[in-house]
Amino acid sequence: MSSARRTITGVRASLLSFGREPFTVVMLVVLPALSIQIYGVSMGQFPEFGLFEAAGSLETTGRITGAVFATGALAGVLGLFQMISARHADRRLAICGFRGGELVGARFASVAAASTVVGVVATISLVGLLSGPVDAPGALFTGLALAGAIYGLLGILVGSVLPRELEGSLLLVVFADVDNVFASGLFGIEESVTQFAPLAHPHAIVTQAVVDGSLATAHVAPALAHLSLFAVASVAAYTYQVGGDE
Amino acid sequence: MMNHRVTTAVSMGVREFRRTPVLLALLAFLPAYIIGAFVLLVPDISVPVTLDGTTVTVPMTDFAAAFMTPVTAAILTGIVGLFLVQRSQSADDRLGLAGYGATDLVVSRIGTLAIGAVVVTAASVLVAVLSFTPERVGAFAAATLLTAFTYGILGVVVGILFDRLGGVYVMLFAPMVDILMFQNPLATDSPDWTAVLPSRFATTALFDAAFTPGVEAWDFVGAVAYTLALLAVGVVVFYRATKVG
Repeated sequence: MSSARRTITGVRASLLSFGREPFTVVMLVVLPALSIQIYGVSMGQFPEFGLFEAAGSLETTGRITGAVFATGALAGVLGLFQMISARHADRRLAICGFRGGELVGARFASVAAASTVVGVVATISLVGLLSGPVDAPGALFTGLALAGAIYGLLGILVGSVLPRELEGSLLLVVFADVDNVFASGLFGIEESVTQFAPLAHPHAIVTQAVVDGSLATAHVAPALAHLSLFAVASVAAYTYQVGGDE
Repeated sequence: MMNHRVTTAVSMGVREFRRTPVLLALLAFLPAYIIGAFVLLVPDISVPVTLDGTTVTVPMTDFAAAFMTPVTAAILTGIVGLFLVQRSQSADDRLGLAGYGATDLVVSRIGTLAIGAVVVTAASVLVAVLSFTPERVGAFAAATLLTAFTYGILGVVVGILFDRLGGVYVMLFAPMVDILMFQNPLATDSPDWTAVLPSRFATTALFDAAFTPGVEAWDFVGAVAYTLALLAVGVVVFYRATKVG
């Protein structure tokens, strides 16, 4: 079997095992819309007394925050469970002759595929739930896809470093919740701090796509830097973990 | 005999916690991370907070410390409850074969969950009181514990009804949406239906205890009643899911 075929087989097996859980698939489709709607409604209940720093209306900012959070958190949890559940399977695949690079490729491609699906669902949901039209849906999808990819990698990283479901989930859930609040920019926390929040730049890209109808080019490079950082860290952690198992 | 069985099962659960130092470290560190990060980073301003229809002005740092305490306790205990029930399902079946009844198991798991809720509450309240002094510390801690226990039971119910991935999704969103979004005293126009959310009574009591000298006893009564009602639902769901007579 060729290397490419092995990788495709690995990705296919991961996606099939994911698709066998219909509830999980339903959650991936329903939760982004639910999150966008709930965040929008909840932000609409706050008075405009100058505490919250929002580019658009508070309701719009709430919906954007809900979309970014749902995309990132769903992809992150997916990456985490993908890593933990694949730990033993990867060891068996290695015995069957799969190389480390093929296994890494398969895991990353599975998470990338799932993140893309979540990003597409969140983009469609956000466009549908916003009160006005979105002039830059491509930029909107770019921001959400980056949020999903960054957190998918973060999930892989946490799953490699801390391959236990309870502890890994605690860490990822808390990190995603805090990161989302920082990234929203709502509480007037200094940008010199929030720029290090992984969701901050995807959030800025999505906000500019919705409010100004353009791509926030100044935030693309920092977002890609976050993505690269997590990619390197997660590959290193995964390689170390698989090496430690052998 | 039942007491001995329950004590044994609870002590085994606690021992399992103790055997995972990473978990204990996370339960101690994460409250410091969440509450500490907000206290350190929010701007040094005052915000108007609406409590029982009256608006009081409090420093943003105090508000952040008070507000993030129940959020932290709910997130951590909810996830612990979720995994407590999911990890113990096969053990429960074996305990059933060893002679444990469903009541023994229910009481044991609730006991273990309660210990987890107390640990998380203690860590969260400790971090909070290092940042600000609530008007009534005891009531503040009690309200946090009620919030934690409510979400712990919710985690157990979710853990029985959903698989792990789905359960984590639910427990990722539920406390954030309920507490952070809909029980936020900065809000002035909350929808009526938010009154039936799990943390409503407990967080109302908590904010009163944090920023006013008096606490409405009815808020605590409501919080306890809500927790007991949820516990009853949890017990029924647990009974139906456990293969023990």
